[in-house]
Amino acid sequence: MSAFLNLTPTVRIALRNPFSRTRYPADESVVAVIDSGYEGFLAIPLDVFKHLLLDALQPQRRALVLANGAILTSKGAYAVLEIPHVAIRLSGFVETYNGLEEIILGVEALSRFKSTLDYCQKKISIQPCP
Amino acid sequence: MVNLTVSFSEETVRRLRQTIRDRYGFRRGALSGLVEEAVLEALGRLETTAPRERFRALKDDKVLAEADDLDQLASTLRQMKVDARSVRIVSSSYLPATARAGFRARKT
Repeated sequence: MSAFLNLTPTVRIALRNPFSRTRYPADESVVAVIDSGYEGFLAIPLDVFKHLLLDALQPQRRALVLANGAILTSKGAYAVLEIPHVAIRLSGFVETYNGLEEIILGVEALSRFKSTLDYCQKKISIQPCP
Repeated sequence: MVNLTVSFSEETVRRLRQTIRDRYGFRRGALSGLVEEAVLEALGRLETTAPRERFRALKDDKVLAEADDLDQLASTLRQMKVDARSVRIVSSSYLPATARAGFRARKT
């Protein structure tokens, strides 16, 4: 399900690496924070990246620019993102960088389904694109 | 011009007529004009969908396999008995070399 944690929008997701047949979490789903300021698809902590064996897939590197202009280097590989409660499955670039402790869903993923943030009723609705 | 019979809900027709009255008065052809404008706008939006993304497995810049999604590509590589760790998986969609990290990222 999707929900607000305090006022931060979140959605429950699962991740799969189809090349190694690994999944995170092994069962059910995990909370991802929606960040419309993140231009990527999905950013995950390093331990999750390793759990999925994505570091074995010849990761690509790129630069991520922070709000204060500082730059950090990320590494990433392609994986499958699932939003189980609405049967959404998307392939995209999943990256990680030092110090990241939460799963962040960026605009590259958000652009592929319909999401409605209703702060009046504290509800989030996620649906596949029509 | 071609005449077309379409069905709308009563509520939609009520709003449509009200909007036309408010914006155009009782001008002849206003209803058809507004409907055509809306249809053209919708067609423009639907016809300009992004090209389908493809995923490729590269070895020494040579394409070994290609598929519409990662599950299909993984399955193809398995059939070809190619270890996914020995290839580079890329997408036909452009991956910017630099992107904004968002407001939750911080440097440690």
